[in-house]
Amino acid sequence: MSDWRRRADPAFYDKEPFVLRTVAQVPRYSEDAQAEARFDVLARDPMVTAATMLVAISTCAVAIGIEPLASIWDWVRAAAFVAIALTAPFTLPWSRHAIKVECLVITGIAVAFLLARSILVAPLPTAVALVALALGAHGIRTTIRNHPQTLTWAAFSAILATCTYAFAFSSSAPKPYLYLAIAGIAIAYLSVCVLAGRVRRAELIARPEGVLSLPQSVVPLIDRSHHHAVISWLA
Amino acid sequence: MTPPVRIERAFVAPVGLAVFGASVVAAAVAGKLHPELVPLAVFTVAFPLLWMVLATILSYSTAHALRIDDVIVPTRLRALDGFRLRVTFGFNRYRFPAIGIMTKVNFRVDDIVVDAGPWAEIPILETRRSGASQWDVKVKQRGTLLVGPVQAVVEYPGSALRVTATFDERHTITVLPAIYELQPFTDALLAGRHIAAGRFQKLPVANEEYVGAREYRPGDSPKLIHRILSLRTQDPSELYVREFQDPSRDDISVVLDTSPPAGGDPALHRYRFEKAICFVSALCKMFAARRLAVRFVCQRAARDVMTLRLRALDIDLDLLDRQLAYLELGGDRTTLGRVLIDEVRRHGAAVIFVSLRPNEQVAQQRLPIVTLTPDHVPVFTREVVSR
Repeated sequence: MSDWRRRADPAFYDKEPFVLRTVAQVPRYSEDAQAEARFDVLARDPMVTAATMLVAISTCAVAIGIEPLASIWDWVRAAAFVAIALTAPFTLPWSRHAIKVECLVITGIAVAFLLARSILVAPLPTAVALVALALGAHGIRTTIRNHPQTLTWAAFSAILATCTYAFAFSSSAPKPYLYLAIAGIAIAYLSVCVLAGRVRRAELIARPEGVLSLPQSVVPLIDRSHHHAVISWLA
Repeated sequence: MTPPVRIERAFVAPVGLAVFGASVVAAAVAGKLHPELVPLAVFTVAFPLLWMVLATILSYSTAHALRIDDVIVPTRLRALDGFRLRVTFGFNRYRFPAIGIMTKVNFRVDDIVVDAGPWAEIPILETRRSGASQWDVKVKQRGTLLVGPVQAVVEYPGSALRVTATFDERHTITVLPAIYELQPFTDALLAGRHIAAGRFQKLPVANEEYVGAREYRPGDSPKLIHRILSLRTQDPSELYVREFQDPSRDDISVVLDTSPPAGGDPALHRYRFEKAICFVSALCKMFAARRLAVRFVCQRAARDVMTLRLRALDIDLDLLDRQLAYLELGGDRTTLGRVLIDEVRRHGAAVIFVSLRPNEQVAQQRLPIVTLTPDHVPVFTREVVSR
């Protein structure tokens, strides 16, 4: 076809480099495309969903159990943790669930309730923690897209923050509870290990299979693939 | 065994690390306020810290223990052709295998550097064993391709550092021009050229070889008449003469224009030049394969005219390709005109001039040469074939 074009259209020879440049395909993911592919892999990975839920449930269980459920407010606090445990896994950046917005709202309300309780008890430390939490959440949200390993640190931080909250309001915990709590935290941490491994897998799957040199006009001969000096791809 | 020459460390996601650090401090303070929760607080804080420290130490020591055992790379290839690059890594440590090593190789052609990957993974590298990364590389620009340095990145999940080991493995590959496949009728370029040029020598000399017979033309020496063939003809007035050829004399001169045309798009001139080079390479090879003595002439730079005498020998054709691989647009029209006149004056040789201009100057048009402009090149060529 190209041969025919060259013969039928004498000016094709002059137009050829520009025509080729226009139709060149660049099979390299951009940073954005890589992030999208990574999120897609994570969203479709059932182990990621399971590990996230395990982290949330075991951490919240530890936080609920550390205080006796004596008053109505304790039950409300427990309900808030349960709400967080159930909805937080659906609020992750790669989540494609239809109820993502609703989950975000419920998580927000639950966190707000817990912080409100904390403000009443210790206003200054809570204010500092609130600012730190907001900054940290914003920082993680902006970096997790291009640096997915941030998820490991975010998960660790979430567990630690929940434990800090639970410790702060704990009055006395019986010894058997401590062992159960340690077991719960261990499950949460091991789930984070699984998460880190799955994130690594997603990174590998979403990586570009090949790269091209920078587009350039100097190309030897009539080659219809690309205008690049070097192409390298995984064997 | 090449050890890394440089180890670079970079923090993985500093924002995440900062948030993690603040959370650790907060949990430690909160745990300290409640002595009965100390075991839980210690476990909560110690686990991720220990994991981070261990993963970081492992990442660092793994990067240090990596070696390059072997790099398989060709020394030359043709443009548009590809090769498989294989880098074998060794691991010189007694315990803990290396996991998830990401490797990449840098490529450089002139001022174009490809250093973004692609990243090849070695999933696991046992101690005292080796593992290989492979890439398929296609080179499109003639000249020199520099392969290297090689980099390996180790980052265990949970490591605070991303450790990059750089190996000073550098290899140079000569990228020869790509080959055009010429149309069968390319022979037509020589139609009538030998006959029209005529012969200055009337009688064969000792080193000339008999190449055939042709009809007698006025001016031919009677001593050259092929008596047997002439007697066989029906017409008694029809005579044939023997033709001799001096093997030491060039049959064809191929002159390549290396002077950049004035004005216009430099990228287009460059593009035409690349095509002309590959066309000339294919042309010379075709003529040489037909046992014609080819003389290739071009100007490399100011006052530097290159002349190559090519026979159907691999060494000659290889030399031509190596010279063409590094040829640049360094000629000028004055020298080119002089070169063309010199070639025309060489008796007996047909001159083929491959020009970069769609319309040649009047001075060139007057010369008894075949001028191939950029518009002619596609007519004589098929698709590119890489070999």
